Amino acid sequence: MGRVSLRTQLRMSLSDSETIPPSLMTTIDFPTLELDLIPLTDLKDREKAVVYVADLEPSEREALAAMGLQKDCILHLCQQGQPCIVQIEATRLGLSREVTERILVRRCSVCNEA
Amino acid sequence: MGTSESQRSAPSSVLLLGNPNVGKTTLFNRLCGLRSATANFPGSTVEARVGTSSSGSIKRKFTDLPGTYSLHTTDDLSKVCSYALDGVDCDQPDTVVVVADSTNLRRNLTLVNEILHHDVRCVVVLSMADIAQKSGLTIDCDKLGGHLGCSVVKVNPRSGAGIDALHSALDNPKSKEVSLPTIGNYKIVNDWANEIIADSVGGKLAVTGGTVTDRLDKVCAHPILGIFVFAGVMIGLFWTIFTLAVVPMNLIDSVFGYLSSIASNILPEGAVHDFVVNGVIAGVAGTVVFLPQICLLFFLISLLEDTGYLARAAFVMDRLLRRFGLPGQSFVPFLSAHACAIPAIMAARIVPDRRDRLATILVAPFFSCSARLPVYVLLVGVLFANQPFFAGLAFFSCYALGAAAAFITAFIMRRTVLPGKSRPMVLELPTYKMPSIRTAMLNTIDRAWVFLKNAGTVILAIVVILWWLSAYPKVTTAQGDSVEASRQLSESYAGQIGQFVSPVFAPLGYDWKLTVGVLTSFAAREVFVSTIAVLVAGSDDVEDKTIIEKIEHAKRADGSPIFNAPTSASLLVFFVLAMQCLPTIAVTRRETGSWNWALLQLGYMTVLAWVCAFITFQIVSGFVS
Repeated sequence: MGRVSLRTQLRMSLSDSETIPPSLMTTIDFPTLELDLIPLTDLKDREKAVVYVADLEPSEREALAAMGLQKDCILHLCQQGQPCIVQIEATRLGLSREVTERILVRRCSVCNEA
Repeated sequence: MGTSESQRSAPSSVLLLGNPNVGKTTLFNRLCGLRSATANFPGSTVEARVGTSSSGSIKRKFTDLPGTYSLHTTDDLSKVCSYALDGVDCDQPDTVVVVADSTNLRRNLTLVNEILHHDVRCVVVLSMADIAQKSGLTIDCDKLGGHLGCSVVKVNPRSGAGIDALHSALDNPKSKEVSLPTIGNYKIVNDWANEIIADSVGGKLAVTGGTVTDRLDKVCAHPILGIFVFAGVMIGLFWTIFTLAVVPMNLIDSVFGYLSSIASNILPEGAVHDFVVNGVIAGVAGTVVFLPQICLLFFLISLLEDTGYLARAAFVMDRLLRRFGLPGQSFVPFLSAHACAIPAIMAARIVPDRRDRLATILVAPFFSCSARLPVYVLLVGVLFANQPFFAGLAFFSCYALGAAAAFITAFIMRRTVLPGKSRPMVLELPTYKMPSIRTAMLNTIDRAWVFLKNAGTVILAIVVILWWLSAYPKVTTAQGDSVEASRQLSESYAGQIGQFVSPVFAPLGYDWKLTVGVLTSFAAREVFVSTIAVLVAGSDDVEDKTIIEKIEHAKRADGSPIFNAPTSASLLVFFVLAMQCLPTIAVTRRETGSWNWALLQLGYMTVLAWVCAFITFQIVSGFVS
């Protein structure tokens, strides 16, 4: 169920003109991009990823951003599970599963960052 | 913004702000030591510590607000910090000291940027500079200060290194107009911070796995192992509290006993004697005797918090508590509730969501506090005399029943009066480190003082009123002599009320004496034992027995024992579940901001206690007969 809602979320975010410029909408290989994005719960220990979107309440997203978990930031997964422990620069965060399954990331090995 | 000589004679006001876990409170303790007190920030339930510190002839008043990540999020803490900066509901601060973690400058600069947008003089303190240096980072304070337009100093709050530099910076603050990025756009703010870091900081902090924190988290935050670690820590905590607290508790008890005997010898028999000995001294002793347990609890919690373990424990508990609609953070108040519900309800302030916080406050008094202990000891002793195994099991069952009632109540509340799921947990996990004994000691002294001030005064007032109700009207014989204590109590206002109300408690197996004991315990649970001792054991014919033996063998009017098995079991259940503490109700009202929640708590717990005690009485009566 979590996977389905994430895909729906992905489509919604892709149709958002602020996220993807309209000029790119026609050239993006939709299925390929969808496969690149994974929920944080699918990341493995010690993997790095770039945060793409967090489908959370605005107040929760705001709090996460203030703690350092923002769009395009690079996170290092220290420990998968409940809590999921991630490190962003020197900030170590514990996230409950309800949060991690709503955060979409792109593996650094895929996006070639950091 | 300049400070004139005339202004310097009055203490200048300095606000301490910063992200959580950056060493802000340690710095406050280093600056102010014992010259501090905790109070609510005006118009809120957010606690702030205020203290003074001197440098030469200059005296400064420091206010330490809890750590915040931003001034512009929707939580109460963020609003309070913003109000404090602007002088809303409080004095405008002369200077703001922003404590920033040297190893995490980019995120900390986000808050610095928000503070610099306010019209207030600023000094940035870089903490953990030693750790940053060990990790290969070198920070140029002058360059950093040039970019921020304010003084930047390195301070080690634990050792005190750099405190003089901080005082110098406060004496001669630098202030320069600089261009700041717009608040709220993280990309622009991050670019601004990155530019500053690139110019002022040398080296790069390595983020790698395999650190001590990583290895410890594999165990402490593990879904299964974490539970065992948590259980071990909690068992150790309570064992330490109950073992070590015995000596000072007995000492306090002896001191008050000695004071009582001195007062008895000095004061002539009469109203003043009774008021001082049975009202004031007994009332103060009844509160202060629990202070060692409370101090030990706060000391150990403070040590645990300082190690970084509590954040992991919150996650371990989150898995259990979320099933009942409570967040993991609730476990800290629940832990405190085992000492006293009052600090527990105050500790619920750490729960960020209002509904989660209300649910935590409403169920916290179910956890067995130390005031229930004397009652448990008495009733378990009566039920299982010379049966240590069953006595131990009954003791454990009391704690388990209280916890179960709390969780079930939370489950019901979250589906009725407080609908909605608890907020998903997101916590910063600080790196593990050695705790500071000094910080723990100062925190303990602070919390103990708050407890004595908030609870002691209220409990004392209640006990004095209770003493008056049980001492008046004075009953005398036809010759004008005083009557025995039990008759005096039975004909006092408290006794009259007890006899009037006794039909309510008759289905639970209580006679009018036990009813008086239960009624008086609504002021404070521990009053029950002393009330019962006076009520049922006041006659002179059993003077050679101990007070417990007197209570155990006390008889009803028909000659049957007062404390038979069904009544004792019913009383035990009633005391586990009932809300018998007026100061707790007062604190609930203050923390929730409404009498409705306080009355709901009182009504719900009392009705639940009555129903469960009734069921227990019927079941045990069935077994006995």
